[in-house]
Amino acid sequence: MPIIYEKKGRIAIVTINRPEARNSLDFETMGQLAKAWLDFRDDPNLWVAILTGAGDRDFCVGADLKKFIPAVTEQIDELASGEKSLLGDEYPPNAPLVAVLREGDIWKPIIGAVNGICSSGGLEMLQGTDIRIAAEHATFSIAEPKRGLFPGGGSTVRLPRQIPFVRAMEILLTCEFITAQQAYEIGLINQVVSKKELMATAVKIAEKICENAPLAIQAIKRSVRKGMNLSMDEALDMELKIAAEVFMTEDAKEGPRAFVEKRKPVWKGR
Amino acid sequence: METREVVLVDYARTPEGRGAAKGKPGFFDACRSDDLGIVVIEDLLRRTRIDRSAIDGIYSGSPNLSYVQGNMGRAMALMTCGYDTPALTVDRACTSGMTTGMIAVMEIMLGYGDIYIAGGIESCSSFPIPTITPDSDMAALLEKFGRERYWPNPKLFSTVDISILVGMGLTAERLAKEYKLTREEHDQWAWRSNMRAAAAYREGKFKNEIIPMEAKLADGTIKIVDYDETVRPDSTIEKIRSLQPLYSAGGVITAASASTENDGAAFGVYMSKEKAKELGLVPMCTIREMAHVACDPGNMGYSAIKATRKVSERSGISVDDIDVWQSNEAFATVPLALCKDLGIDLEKVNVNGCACCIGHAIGASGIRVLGTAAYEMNRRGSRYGCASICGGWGQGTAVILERENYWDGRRAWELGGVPTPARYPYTDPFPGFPPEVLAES
Repeated sequence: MPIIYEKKGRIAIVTINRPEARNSLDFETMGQLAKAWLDFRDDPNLWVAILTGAGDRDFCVGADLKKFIPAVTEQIDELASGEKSLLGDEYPPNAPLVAVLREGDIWKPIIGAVNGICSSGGLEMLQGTDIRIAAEHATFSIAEPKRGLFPGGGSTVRLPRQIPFVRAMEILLTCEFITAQQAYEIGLINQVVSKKELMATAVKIAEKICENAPLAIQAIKRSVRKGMNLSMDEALDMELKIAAEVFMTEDAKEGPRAFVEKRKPVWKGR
Repeated sequence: METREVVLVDYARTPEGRGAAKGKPGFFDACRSDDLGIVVIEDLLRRTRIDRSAIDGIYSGSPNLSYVQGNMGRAMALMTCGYDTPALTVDRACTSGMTTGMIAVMEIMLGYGDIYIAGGIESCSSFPIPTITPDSDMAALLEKFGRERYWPNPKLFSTVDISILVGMGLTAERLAKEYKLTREEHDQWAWRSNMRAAAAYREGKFKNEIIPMEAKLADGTIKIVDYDETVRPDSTIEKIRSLQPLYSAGGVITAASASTENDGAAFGVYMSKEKAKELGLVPMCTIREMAHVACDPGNMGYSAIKATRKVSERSGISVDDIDVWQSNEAFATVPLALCKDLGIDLEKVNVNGCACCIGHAIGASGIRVLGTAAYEMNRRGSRYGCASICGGWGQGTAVILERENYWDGRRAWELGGVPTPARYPYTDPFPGFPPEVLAES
């Protein structure tokens, strides 16, 4: 199957599994990826996800140039007008955008474990993740303009907001790749580790997040990501409302209680 | 009386999980058989787009102790379609999943209904089938079964050998002896079954047949799987040759050439030909002829041969005209004996593997062999196929399928491979009961 979707306790692991095609995204892969993300979003037992690619060479190189892109370019009018759904009736119409984490309102943390070449749609998807670990040999680039295409997965909007402006423009305009070390230096990723330690590191971070109250964590992500779209005043107002929601939860009572009773808190997720 | 022609418009199944009763874990070892059935029924309804209220029957094969409530078929009907959907549960041992189809077909032929979902469900994890050998302590086994709610009538054992009470191994050894089948023939068949199944997964042949769904791996991880747990792609003929006989010293059947006991569900959608055309659904095949037989329980496997002879005679279609054969591998002995008896080319039988490796989710196997034959017929462009299954206590069924030139329309059976939204199908049997109360009871 092109997407491996596993649940280990509270952690969901989504693996793009088309190493023979450089983990590129074709119709089926996009559809299954979208379904996995929506399932992760809606399953109350899952608190954190890790996104990675199968094999040692590629994380994800974006849309399948042979299968996917020609279908898009040929039907772009109908797709843009919403007349046609790219993946067919079995999947929601915005499934490709959910697949690359451009849409979907997933407020649970997603950790990117970049196991190799992260290019085009792969880098766009990475911008939808919240914490990123990369293997030493991983590289990062936007390559759509090289093929006359456009990085419509959110890069022109999100990348300049996530890393310094000139670094984003260099990546977007030269279409040259940067190394994992360079990505770390400009703040595109959090950590560079050896290939062997990649998944273990990602899982450790996921477990650390899971020690915290899930609703508080999800509210934080929501406040951050939504707030980035608003003016400062509006964002601060929204933040107060979100904070109030968290303070009303049972977990907000459990936390201080556990602290006083000198024990680990038991989160209920409500 | 005018009878109508009946077609199979779709068929799907869950992956088969190992029946965990003997210690090793399985994909669905904590799941109910009816929860597995619901996953299949829902996916069939999705693919065919048939209005739930139009389903005239949900007929479920459910032998063994996976039958945990009255009329499992009706329970599933209530959980998927509604109050107005009739249902039936059939126990004809291993043939149950094919028998439910036969009954649905008969009803459609005679105009009692138009659209049926018929197949079977199984949870061998909830029923440990003992390995019975000539040295088994039958008295102790009977006592154990009595405690587990399985009470065969002792009077039976004046006519039926008690040693084939539940475990069929000794009947297969007898069949092997009768047809002079060697250990090497069994080993080759078992190995080939594994290799064929492994190749079939690789080539995507089960893509539309197996519903990708969440299952539980050995370490507790929940994962979407689209393959059967007990197939061994790494199997070697040398390893198989080194296995000890399972049922009697000097016997020819080993763990490799005996079917594994599995958990799973499978259903087919049967309807009248006119109804299929009306709904714009392209059939997989037409049900051309059916037969059911009984024979000496001590030679259980022979029932498949007897049923196949009967269906061939009834239909007038000779063995040579049949391209695609599915003979359920309760033991490798069965297809081997079938081929020897009827002169069938081994190469045409169970081309994508069968129960020896894919497994025997008993209630589901009857429709599984029928539906998988239908898929293969469409892949090859064959005209005739035959699916047969032998059942415990000497019962057998066989069906001949015909692939005709149908109209254009929706090929529901090619719309599989979409991971279901179904979460790991575990239902807490006693929701809301505090642990102290459960411990008391």
